[in-house]
Amino acid sequence: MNTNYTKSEDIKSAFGQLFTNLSEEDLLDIDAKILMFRFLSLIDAKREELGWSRKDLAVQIKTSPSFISQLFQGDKLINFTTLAKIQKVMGLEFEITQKRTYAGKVLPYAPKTEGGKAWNYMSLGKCENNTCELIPLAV
Amino acid sequence: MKRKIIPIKSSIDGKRRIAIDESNSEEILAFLNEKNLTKKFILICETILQGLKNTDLYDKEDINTKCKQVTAMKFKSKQNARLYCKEMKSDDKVLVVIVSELLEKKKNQKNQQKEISLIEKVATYEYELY
Repeated sequence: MNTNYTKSEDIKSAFGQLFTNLSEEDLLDIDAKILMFRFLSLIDAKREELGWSRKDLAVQIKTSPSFISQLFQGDKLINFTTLAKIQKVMGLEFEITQKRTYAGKVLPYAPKTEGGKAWNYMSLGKCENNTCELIPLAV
Repeated sequence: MKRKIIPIKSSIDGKRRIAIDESNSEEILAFLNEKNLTKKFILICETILQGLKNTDLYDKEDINTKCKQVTAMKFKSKQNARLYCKEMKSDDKVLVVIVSELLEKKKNQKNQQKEISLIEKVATYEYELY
């Protein structure tokens, strides 16, 4: 890779490309690790609350301290069996919630006709559970 | 004279931003590419931008009262490199993490004089945020 950058715009663009030129596989891998870090940050807070070292945690779940370090450093991915073991030994329970994106909150709306001739705009109906917004696709 | 920064990426909510020290940006980029650490760098940036605490990847380096704003991105597994950063708040209350100085290899677990000097150097840096 050419490293002869002379302008700040070139550097900005080169750093931008680091983020945008990732393969689908690498993007998924980073997303998976970020998801794992969400669990690990809760686990680490609980570990501190219990006064355990990382080594104590490793002993409790019958693994090595280096494996725990590899997880925190993002070099390995945790699996659900290990998570279940950690839940059990720490006496904690993960609660799952779904963060809804805007696209997930919005239902597409298209005008409906009555009688098959002229467009007759109908009143907006309520969506299921009354949790969604309805917006027109076009004005 | 204040040092210049190059913004790299902002969080979706706009509350956090990663930037790089313009003077050292070329050296840092070349190092990340050469040592194949770009993916780890992105992972650390995303961890910071999403407000996740992971002291194995990013932590304070507040070795004394002068260095309270200094932090480090840690690349432990391959090179044991550090990217020393300075955390600043912009006028619009955005937390800006400025990647300031590169340490290619941290040789000891405890900070030695080389690391201490670098951390104290970063602490003295003043940046022009825009």
